[in-house]
Amino acid sequence: MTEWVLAAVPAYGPWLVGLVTFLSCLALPVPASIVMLVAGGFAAAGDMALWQVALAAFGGAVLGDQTGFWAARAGGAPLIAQIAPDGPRAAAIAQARAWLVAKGLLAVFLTRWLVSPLGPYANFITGAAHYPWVPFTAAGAAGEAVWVGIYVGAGYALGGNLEAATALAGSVLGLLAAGTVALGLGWWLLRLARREGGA
Amino acid sequence: MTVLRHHPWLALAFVLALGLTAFFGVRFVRHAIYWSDPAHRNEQVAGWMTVGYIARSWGLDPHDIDAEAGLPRPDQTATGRPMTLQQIADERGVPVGEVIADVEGAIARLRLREAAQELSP
Repeated sequence: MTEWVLAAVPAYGPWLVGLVTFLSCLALPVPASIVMLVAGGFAAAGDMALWQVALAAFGGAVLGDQTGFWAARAGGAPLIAQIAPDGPRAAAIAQARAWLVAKGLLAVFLTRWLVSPLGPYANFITGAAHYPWVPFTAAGAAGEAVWVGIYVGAGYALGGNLEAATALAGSVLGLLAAGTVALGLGWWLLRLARREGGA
Repeated sequence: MTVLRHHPWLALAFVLALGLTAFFGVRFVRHAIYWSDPAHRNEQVAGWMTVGYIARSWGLDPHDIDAEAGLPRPDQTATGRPMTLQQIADERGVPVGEVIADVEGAIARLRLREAAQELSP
């Protein structure tokens, strides 16, 4: 399937890139990261325009997020029950729901790129839980911009070598993830130190 | 630094996160240095690639590859878009392996010519 999708990228251009990111945001098993890396590579080779690739990937992802969010808002709780009747997935979704209620904005942002496999479920859950639309859309679009930027950017920077671009994207993701956690924990420790110092 | 002693688990997590950040930072720099050498980029030619993609990967001029391998230039194709090697093979009614072999031969000859030019005064 991957080989077939890769061959379709130069033939169908940015539309295909947008379609793939759209479908991936609805939890369908399409190779979105590889398509973005390769499209970035084709852009570097001059076969596609970089801005069209980036805009299509971003537009498809945002549209996919909105589709999942509104579908879940309309369908509500029954949809979630259908996705995860029981078993480990249900437990994971229950945990995610508790997390979303407490840290909605950050959760929506981070499930776009840092833990992107959870993104579609975050859309369904926030939609079904009637999480407000404006913060969802703002955090979602910001997160998708990071996701698209990393993959299309890595593909463009290392145009012509998929393996190198994949490794680069992995390093950037790891660096950003670990750095974010380190900053958060550092901030937490600093706050504790101030409180204890003042007491 | 009493706060670190009062919250050992939090401190440990912080140090671990710092360590991971450094690990990925070093990995990123090492990759960036390694892949910045064009000779390390050459990617095995495959049917889904366009000549432009291959040229970028191998550090060659796409028009040279087209001419050397006897392929249509992107502005001379039926669709006016760059074609993948698979599409070119389909249009000719030949197996894609044949087109890939043509391109690989062209790359080898272009490389050889480049090397010869560098040697001659």
